[in-house]
Amino acid sequence: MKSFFLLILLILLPQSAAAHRLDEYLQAAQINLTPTGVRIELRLTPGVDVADRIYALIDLDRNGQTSPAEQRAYAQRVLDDLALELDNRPLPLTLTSVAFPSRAELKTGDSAIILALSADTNFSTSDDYQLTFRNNHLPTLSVYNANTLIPTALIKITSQQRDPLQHELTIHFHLPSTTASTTWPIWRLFLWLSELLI
Amino acid sequence: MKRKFLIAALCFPVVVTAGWMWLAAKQQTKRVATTPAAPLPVHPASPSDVTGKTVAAAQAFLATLDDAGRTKVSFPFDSDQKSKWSNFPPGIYPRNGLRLGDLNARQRDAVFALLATALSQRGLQKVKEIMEGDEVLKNSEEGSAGAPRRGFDPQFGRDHYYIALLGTPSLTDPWMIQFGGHHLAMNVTIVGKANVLTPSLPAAQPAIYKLNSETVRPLGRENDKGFALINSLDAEQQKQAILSYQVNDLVLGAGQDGKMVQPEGIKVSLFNDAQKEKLLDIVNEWVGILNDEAAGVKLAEVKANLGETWFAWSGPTTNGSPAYFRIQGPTLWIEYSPQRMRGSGLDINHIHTIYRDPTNDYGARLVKK
Repeated sequence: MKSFFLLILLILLPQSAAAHRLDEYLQAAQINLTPTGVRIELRLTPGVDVADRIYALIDLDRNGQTSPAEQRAYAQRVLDDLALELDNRPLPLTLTSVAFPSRAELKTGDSAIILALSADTNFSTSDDYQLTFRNNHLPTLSVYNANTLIPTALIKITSQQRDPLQHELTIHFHLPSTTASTTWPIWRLFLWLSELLI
Repeated sequence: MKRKFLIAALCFPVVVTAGWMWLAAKQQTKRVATTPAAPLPVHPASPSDVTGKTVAAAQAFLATLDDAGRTKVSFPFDSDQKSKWSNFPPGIYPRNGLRLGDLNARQRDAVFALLATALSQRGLQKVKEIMEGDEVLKNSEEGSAGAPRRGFDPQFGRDHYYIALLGTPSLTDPWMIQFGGHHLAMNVTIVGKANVLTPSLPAAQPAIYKLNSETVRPLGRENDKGFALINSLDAEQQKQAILSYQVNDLVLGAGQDGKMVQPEGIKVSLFNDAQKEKLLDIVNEWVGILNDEAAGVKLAEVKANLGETWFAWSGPTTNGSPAYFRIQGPTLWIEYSPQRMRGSGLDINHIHTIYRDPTNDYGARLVKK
């Protein structure tokens, strides 16, 4: 009976909302772990109702277009609101590329600003790691998704934790010793040979 | 001199090995993480099997078109048209191919005859219900606070669905039927006897509506079977299956080809037989959109991989609430995702879903050289 009333209620409700993203800013992060560091793709999709507000944050001189400098400035603003930590120590993120749609595209609720970010580091086979990604960009406007791509066989993810709104994702992982491949033992071997011979 | 030569001789292989490993590591970072899979054998079809009938239906459709129409609907199989699909309406994400609204009755009938051959009866029904839902949405949007008032036409409604054919309909060579528009993307790749439906995106808004006094729920079975499964799990199983966070959209929706995320939730190997049957029944809602012959093959593959399949849930467990679920296996990725509505959070009347095979989207294993 409860389901019946629910069905009736839903049928009677006006279908007023358009079918594309509307009044929130979707920020979806995909994290790719590699033996030589962390790569992150951040897709920022403003809904049609908030697109103008987001655009105003990018088009600082209000000329209706975004220059490369304005795009870089906004990307830096986003970057400043992100945090990446490896074993509770900051791991600096670098912007590797940015892609901005036009104002018209941005207002459709479909197009995304795409930021590619990276942090280089060499993971060794002997350690367990804890990587935390935190996104605090425009929290009052935004909803978040954060996911980890399946890494190469060199990396084994043991667990993941997120907060209820996906502001923060923590990944626990290690590099199984059977697949040891990092370069530093090779250099240790090189040094050892040098010491032996010189 | 001799000593220097010895040092150089010993160091050379070390440096070469280090360089090789550095390059290998660099390559790893570029490669998209998906399950490597061996090519599948291609078995030529015959005129009497489902591929043969679909080829005949495609040729019959092409015969209803003039040269300009045939040119407009046809694309090379290996073109980037393959991945040009979306959940958005054509006013936002323009489609290529022929628009249903531009076809005459005979041509439209031929399109639906083709879909009726490639898809199952209930698959075609689902497609039609999604399209009719968009017609309901169009009528409710006009004059309301929706997009048309702003001088922008998103192109809702049953006329704004497109068909495209990639490659030449064939019993042996790869070809593809692409049909879609707002909230719908059906990609049927055919290679010999094999038919593949991934990636496809059935979605719905409204997800519940009235048509000729009947209540229509294009994705109602998926919803109800999902809730039946989560409620069949015991407390310990639910603890593992239910994610601690809200999922705001499809993780691997349109534009996310070739990616796969780390599995989460509960492994299906921890299910009892009845729970496994329930899960397969849910999977069949997506797999079974395709014709029965091909769906049977795919479902058997999913069943064989159940031990390595995962089920994850996000949201309340009372039917009627907005809840997200995901089924992920070696050759399967399904997401059911309620979408957010203006000012109301996640809503059960606006649903997106996606169906992928991380190893065989667009028949990748069948066309692998």
